[in-house]
Formats: sequence, C-alpha cells, structure tokens
Amino acid sequence: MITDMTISNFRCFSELYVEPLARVNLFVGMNNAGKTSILDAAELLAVGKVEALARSAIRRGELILASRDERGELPEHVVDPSYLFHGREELRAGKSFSIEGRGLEHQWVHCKAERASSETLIMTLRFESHSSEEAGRLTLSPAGGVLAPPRGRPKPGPRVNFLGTEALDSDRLSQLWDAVVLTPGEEGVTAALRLIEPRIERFALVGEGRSASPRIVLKLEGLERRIPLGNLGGGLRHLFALALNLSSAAGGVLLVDEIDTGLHYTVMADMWRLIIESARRFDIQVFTTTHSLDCVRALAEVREKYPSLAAEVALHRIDKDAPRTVVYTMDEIAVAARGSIEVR
Amino acid sequence: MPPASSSLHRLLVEGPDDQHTIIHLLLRHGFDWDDPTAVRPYIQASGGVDRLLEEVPVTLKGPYERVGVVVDSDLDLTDRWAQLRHGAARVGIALPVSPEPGGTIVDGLRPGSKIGFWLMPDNSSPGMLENFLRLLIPPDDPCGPYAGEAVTEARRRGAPCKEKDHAKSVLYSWLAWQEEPGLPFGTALKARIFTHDSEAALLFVGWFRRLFADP
Repeated sequence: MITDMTISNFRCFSELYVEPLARVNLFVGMNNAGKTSILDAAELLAVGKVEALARSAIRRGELILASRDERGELPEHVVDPSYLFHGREELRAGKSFSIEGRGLEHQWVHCKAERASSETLIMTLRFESHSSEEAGRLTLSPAGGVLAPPRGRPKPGPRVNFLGTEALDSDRLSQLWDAVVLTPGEEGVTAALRLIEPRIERFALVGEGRSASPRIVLKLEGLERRIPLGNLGGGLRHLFALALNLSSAAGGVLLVDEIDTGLHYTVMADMWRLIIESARRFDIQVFTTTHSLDCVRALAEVREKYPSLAAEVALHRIDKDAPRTVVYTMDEIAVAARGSIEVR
Repeated sequence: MPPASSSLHRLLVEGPDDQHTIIHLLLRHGFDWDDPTAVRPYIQASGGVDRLLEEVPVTLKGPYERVGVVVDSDLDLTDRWAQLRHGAARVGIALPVSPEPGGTIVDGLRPGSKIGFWLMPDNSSPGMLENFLRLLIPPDDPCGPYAGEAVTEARRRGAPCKEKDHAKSVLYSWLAWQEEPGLPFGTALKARIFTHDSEAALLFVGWFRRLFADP
C-alpha cells in the first residue's frame, strides 16, 4: 500500500505532495484541479511498466492521427505523450516528470524526453521498486507520437483496474467476468447489486464467444425471464462495474473516476461500505474521485455506523497550484456534514 | 435572494440572534443581501459556541475565498482568543497574539483567500452580542443607563438572573420598554430602535466590509 506520493511535473501538477494515503482515498476539488491526474499518477506507479504510460492517454483521447503502416493497416492507438508532462506544451528534449510513492515498498517512476538525433526524440523511462527495476525507451514518430503497446489479456499478478465514467465495453466485461466467475468474489458482486435491487438472485454473462457484444443478465426473485442488466438503470450498472472491478483486483489497486456516478444519495453510505469492506477483504488500495456532496457526507454516516471502516478512508482536496492536498479526518468530515461546511 | 449555503463566502456565528443582528445592521448601512453581483457571505449559525469552535478549523480548511467568524468573548477574551488561535494553528494558520481592536483579518490557506475574526463586543472587552447591542442604544435614550440600574436592583430584590448574564438582562429589559415591547434584535435594528452608527457599529461594519466587500 502506498502511504504517500510525490508528483513532479506530471500533467497539471508542477509539484504535489499527497499524504497520508489510506486503504481507500477519495479526492475532491474543482474542475481541472487534477483529480483524475492523481489517479493517472497512482496507476503509473502501481502498474510499474512501460505499457502503463499509454493507458491514461488513451482514456483521455490524447492521440495522434495515425497513418497506415507498411501493410496498409492502421495502428490501434498512437499516443501523444506530450500531455503527460506539465505545461501542455509540445514535447522537447529535457522535459521530464516523476512520481514517487512510499509505503511498505518504495516505488519510483521517472520519464525524460531526450534527443536521440537531430530529428528524433526519445523518452526514457525508469520504473523502480525495491523488488524490481524496469527501464524502457520509446522513440517518438516525426509527428510526436508513440505506439501504444497492444492490449492483451492481463498477466497474472495483482491487477490495477481503472473504472472511468464510460460504460464497460464488452472486452473489459469479459475480462472481469473471467476473473470473478465461480470465485468468492462472485457472491460479493451479487451482494453489491442487492444494495439497489434486493430481488437479484444471480447474474451471468451471456453471449461470450458467439456474439459481438456479450451482456450481463440477471435472475430476479419471482420472475421467470432473465433481465438484462442495462434494463435496471445506470446506478445498478455502475455498482456492478464497481463490484466486478473490486472482486477482480485482489492484492492490487482500483482507480475509480467519479465513484458516485448514477447513484442516489440514499445508497451512498452502502456503496462506501461495499468499497471499504471489499478493499479490506481483497487487500486492494482504492483511489477515487467525486464531485458529489452526498458522496462525501455519506462518509459521516459510515463513521457513525461503522467506525472501523471509516478509519480506512482518507479524504483529500486538491486546490489548483497548491503544493499539497488538504486532508480531512473523519471527525472533521462529520463536523462538516453537520454544519453544511464545504470540503470539496 | 440571500446567498446560498454553497457560497464561497461564509460568516460563522453562534446563533440566530447574531445572524439577524448582523443582517439588519448591515442593511442599515446599505448592504444589499439580495444583490447577486455583490460579494455576500452565507451566514452559518452553528448552534452554540462549542459547535462554532469545532467548525472553525474545518471551515478554515475549506475551499472558501472569505471566512468570517463572529463569536462572543464571554468571560475571558484571552481564553476565547487562545481557543481560536489553537483551532487556526491546527490547520496551519497563525493568528496574532491578541485580536486587532478593529477586528482581525489575515490570509487564509488558499492563495488569495482571507479570514477574519470579530470577538463580541469590541475585540478588547469580555462580553457577548448583548454587550455590543448595548453600545447601539441611542446615547440620548432616556432609559438607557436606567436599564442597568433596574437589573441590578431586581437582582438585589432576589431576581434569579445571574451576574454573568447582566448584559442580556439589561438589553431585554430595555427592549421591553419600547413602543412595541420585546422585539427581537434584528427587528429592533430594522425598526431603528437601535442606532446603526455608534462607534462600535461603525467598527464592526468596517471589519465586515474589509473582509467581504473589499477586493
């Protein structure tokens, strides 16, 4: 588990210190303050491999229009890495960023743009932890892009899952399903779905391999037909994605952008309970963001009902251009909820 | 419409009496609480000094541009100031050793933000809102000084009101003798029973404007 993080010249941060990090970390702040960038930084650190570099760029659509290769095929993604560096300028030699995480393990990511020849820029990358070290070089195309490594099946080992605000695509759904089906995690997912719809008995993925778009169906108590997940609304779909991502990230890291998506305020405290209990049980560190006041206030409710769960949560606000985050204790969150004091 | 609770300008007070006193005193100085283009604080009444003292550090940490705190000195101004200083220090804000006579204003945590403190009645004496309001009794009022004598005499005759609440007893007695007896503080200000331009009132309004209205 990472207990603190120093981010230098990465995305919108020139320098940011984030401390203390807990098992579950919630980041709030105004638009464009850098909430998602914190998740991106934690992801790079947690994945610790060159392939991680492209992940956030692809999610954000920081791509370069690619031309066909020698076989006449279009590459899947050509990433524009310049946005990873602070300042949003075109990439030039000498620019660098680093992310350092401390905890049981000391982890470090460093990336620097260098000139390989008069025309060619390269990016050198170093990923270090006490148990491993990886270095890589990526050569930039004349247009300033790097080819994203092909997305294959995930390798064994702790997983780093990122759940964004968009719906899960069928690839991702199949991957997560594979990781969960017939494991103890499957029961956890069903329990999560019951937070919103208590009549849910089972869920399953149908159409995999035969259909272009496999989908999740549910068995509801008292109903003969099986019901598509999408039929039951956005909140249920989001909880499902959350639970599936939690159950398949044992020993790893889960990053969730806008954790409250689609959820009514009455289920917020239960959502937190699901997240914190699962994170504990599966030994996952969670980094997440929200704009929702209900989502933050629900933490005060969790503190009152389940104090030991609340002790696993840290709330950070990112203020634009501030050198460190503002951290709230659970007691302070309770005072804020009572007095309608803004923390976001 | 007055500012919403989501306003990034916030004034923390102990209770509704403080709230209405401030609203109506400022109204008499031409402050427009309904002007959406003006910088206006949302006034949060904490529900007692203990709650207020808990809320001060949490509010100072918040994303606010301006935070004001109006609190009674009560029996010991030095103690109350020490409590506020301690709360501010907890979140990394250093307050001066003693409050400024005209109200204290210092920089907040966020770049460009300001925070202000006003200790009732005047940042230098012990007391409470009611002491401040006593300073707003018109100087030529025939019964102003007499209200004090009357309360002392009442206590001598066995009235159970306490010495520490003397200012409260005096003020409510005086309000009881007006044409419309017993108006609440805000309403009495609106009805011009209190003055709005005594020295104490002007100092307070000056502090308020420096904190909230000045850029």
